[in-house]
Amino acid sequence: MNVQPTAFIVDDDLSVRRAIQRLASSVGLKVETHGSAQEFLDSYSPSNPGCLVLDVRMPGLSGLDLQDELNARGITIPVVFMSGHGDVPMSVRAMKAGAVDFISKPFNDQVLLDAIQHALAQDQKSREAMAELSEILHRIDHLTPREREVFALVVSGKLNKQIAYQLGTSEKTVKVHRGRVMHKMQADSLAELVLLAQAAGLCKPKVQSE
Amino acid sequence: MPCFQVTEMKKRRQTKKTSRTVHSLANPPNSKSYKSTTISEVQTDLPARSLADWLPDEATALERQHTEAELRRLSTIVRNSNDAVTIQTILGEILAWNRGAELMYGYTEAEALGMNIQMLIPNDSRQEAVIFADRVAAGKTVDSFETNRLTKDGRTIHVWLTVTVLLDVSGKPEAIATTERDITPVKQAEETIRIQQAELAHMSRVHVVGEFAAAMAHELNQPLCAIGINAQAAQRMIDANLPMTEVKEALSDILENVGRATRVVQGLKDQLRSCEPEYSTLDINEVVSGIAPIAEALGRCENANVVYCLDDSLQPVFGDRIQLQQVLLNLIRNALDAMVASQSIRREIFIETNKCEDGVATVSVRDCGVGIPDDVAEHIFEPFFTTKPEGMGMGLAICSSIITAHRGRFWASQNTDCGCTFHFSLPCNLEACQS
Repeated sequence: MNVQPTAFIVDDDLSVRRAIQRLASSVGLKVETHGSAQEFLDSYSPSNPGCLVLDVRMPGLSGLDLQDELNARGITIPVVFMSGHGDVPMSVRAMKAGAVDFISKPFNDQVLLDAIQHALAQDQKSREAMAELSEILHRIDHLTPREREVFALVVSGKLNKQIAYQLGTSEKTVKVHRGRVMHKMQADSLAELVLLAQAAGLCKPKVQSE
Repeated sequence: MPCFQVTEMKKRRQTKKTSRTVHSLANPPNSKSYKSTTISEVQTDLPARSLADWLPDEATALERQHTEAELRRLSTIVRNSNDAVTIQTILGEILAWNRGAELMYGYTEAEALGMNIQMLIPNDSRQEAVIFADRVAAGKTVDSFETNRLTKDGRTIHVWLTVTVLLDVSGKPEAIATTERDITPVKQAEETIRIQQAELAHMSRVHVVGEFAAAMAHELNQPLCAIGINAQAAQRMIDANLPMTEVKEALSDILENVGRATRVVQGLKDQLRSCEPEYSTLDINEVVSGIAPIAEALGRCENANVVYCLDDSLQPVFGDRIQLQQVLLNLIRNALDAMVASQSIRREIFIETNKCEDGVATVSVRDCGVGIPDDVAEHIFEPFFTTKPEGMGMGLAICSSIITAHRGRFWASQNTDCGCTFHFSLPCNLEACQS
């Protein structure tokens, strides 16, 4: 991804907005500022990589309202909240709704810059994951209906013999389909194929990693 | 002249010095020596007469008896009056001094008769006395007025002074009769009420500012945040050898935000200031914009906008800036509460100044809240009436007392669409207010 990510700053306070822009620019970050949640929504395109630095309390649409709206639209831009109040219920709500960080005003410059970097890294990670997923889904799209059946049975741990029996075909035919699936999915081993299936959400790992 | 009371003999002796005649009002003589006194003496230079002329005929004797009785009555009224009654020459030499004056000022009649009235006038009332004396000398009438006097033991008392100018036969002012009533207790009671009202208003302000604390902390946080980030950004710019023009911009933003924080703090300090009201000539629009930092902070907390519409052709009003701002803050707080209670999506407060009629400025605070139910409307200005669970019910009662003390009017009206509007009007006629 060659596009430089943008830190979108949304705060109704012009002085704070200008200060954050100045700080972020001084460390070479690309910054875009907005005076209201609506202004941001109107101009934002989800294809732009970046993160959102959002004031909680704003007239009109508040920061939390904007977060809800983004979630409802399926937009996953990482959000760093800033608040002068910083009360616990508010930060809990924000974090539950997926905020990356919640920092209290006034804050140290490094705290904000770290939070922005962290959010940008998360955005990049999720964008890479999204790209990977769409690549896997793209490969799955190229499988024939029969190959998909074989793919599903293989990754669920069935032997060729069992698959042939289940599909009412010969073991030899299953081997051919299986070879095509491995090729189209660009998997070198059964283990790799299982990982791809997991990444595509076709099967769940038995043991949660986290 | 029926009140002619000096014996002819005496009168002859005194013809040249009647203006110096001593009138004994405080300790009037018994009826025998009473004949030698007079209340209102008309000076006449009597021509010499024969001895026979001095003997009164019967009719004159009867008339004299009648007149004497009348005079005794008048004299008793003057003598026993609780008001001080004095007579003085145009130059202020005291000619008569009743018992009321003795009690009020502490000087006996004997002491007072040698004194000049100036002794009773405190320094800060001297100017007023000079103007007053000039008016009298010019033959103009003087209305009763309130002024200060000094007693023998050095106390200053408030008196209500009524003046009667005594004219000689040619119609020229000859002497001045004054009646003074001690209104010090009334003034003290008024002062006590005034202080109590001011203390109550102050208490309420402190209470309200306490409620604002969270909003104010936030309001200070914004400029502090901007100051902090700008300073840190400036340091980074200098370290990175970025152009000085950018550093200067950061510094000027810092200064701007210092000013902003200062205004918030000043606004709060004003509201917490001691309770003594300071009346002065005010631009009502300036009073309104003075609370803008606090009003906007409160609005921000409830996601509400405060919109101003100020008529800049208004004449100045006379009042206490802080108390008027207190009224506004109370109304803004009520408006916010009403909008939160109504859960209205549109949260806007309109603050308007208007010229409603000649010489009257009106300030109104309009909200989009729940409005005032009819059964509540008639009670809203009563003390201890509240519809809020944690309310004291003093807000509007105090606003009302403040506006009344400013000789203004305070009322509420229902909006046609939603919410209600509170209005107060203040007279712009400065002379009327200052009196």
